[in-house]
Amino acid sequence: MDGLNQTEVLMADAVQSINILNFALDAIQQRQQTIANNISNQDTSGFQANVVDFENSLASAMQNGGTASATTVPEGLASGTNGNNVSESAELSLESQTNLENQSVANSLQSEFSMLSTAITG
Amino acid sequence: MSMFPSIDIAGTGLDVDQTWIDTISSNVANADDAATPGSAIYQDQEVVATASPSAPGNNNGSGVQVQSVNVSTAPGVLVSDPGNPLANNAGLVEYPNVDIGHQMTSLVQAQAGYEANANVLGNSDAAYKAILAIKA
Repeated sequence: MDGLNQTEVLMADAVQSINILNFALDAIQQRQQTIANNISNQDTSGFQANVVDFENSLASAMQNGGTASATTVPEGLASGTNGNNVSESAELSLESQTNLENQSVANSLQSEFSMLSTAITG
Repeated sequence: MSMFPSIDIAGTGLDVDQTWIDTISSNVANADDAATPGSAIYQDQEVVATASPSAPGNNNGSGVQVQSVNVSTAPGVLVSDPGNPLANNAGLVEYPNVDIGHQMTSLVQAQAGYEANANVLGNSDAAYKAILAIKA
């Protein structure tokens, strides 16, 4: 394999990683939106909290091929007397976690772009 | 929804909690408004919140909004005070039916909600900034 081919393989890998990170970033955004919605409705009678799941779908798509998807599903915790099932502590801790994931995915994307940039411009 | 929906959603939460706190202030401020016999008494007001409707295809929610501010129809509380110039013929003064205990617990709830939404707003801001900082 000559030098040029090696660069091409590296670039294809980088593009693949960027696609995966891009999907993860989108899904994390959706999760943040859902958390914001749950917290803003923590005192709304009858409101049922939602969660976004994407990790299983992404893992399966990376292992077996196919398209990953992020789905919003009811959280399904027990409701209080006003029919609301938002757990503020659970939402806030999930929010912190999601923010860190967001930061880490954003950093990884940045690294991929830097690498690509180096590969292109030398 | 703008480009930054999480910030918008936290904003709707702040709006509703602010309205809630305003209503509580009004109830507490008027709790001792004795009425002259025959005139209307101050009525307790309660905010009713509902989840904001979302556009088709948006499964992640759009926040919260005030559905209505319900005005109580409960009669005032009559207190015996014959010397009071506002007393009726039976020596009773009418005060608003505002439950201060309920107002105070609601205030704590509204404050906690406001803080949580402010927290989400700050964190969403940080998250979006992390994404905006990505450059090739």
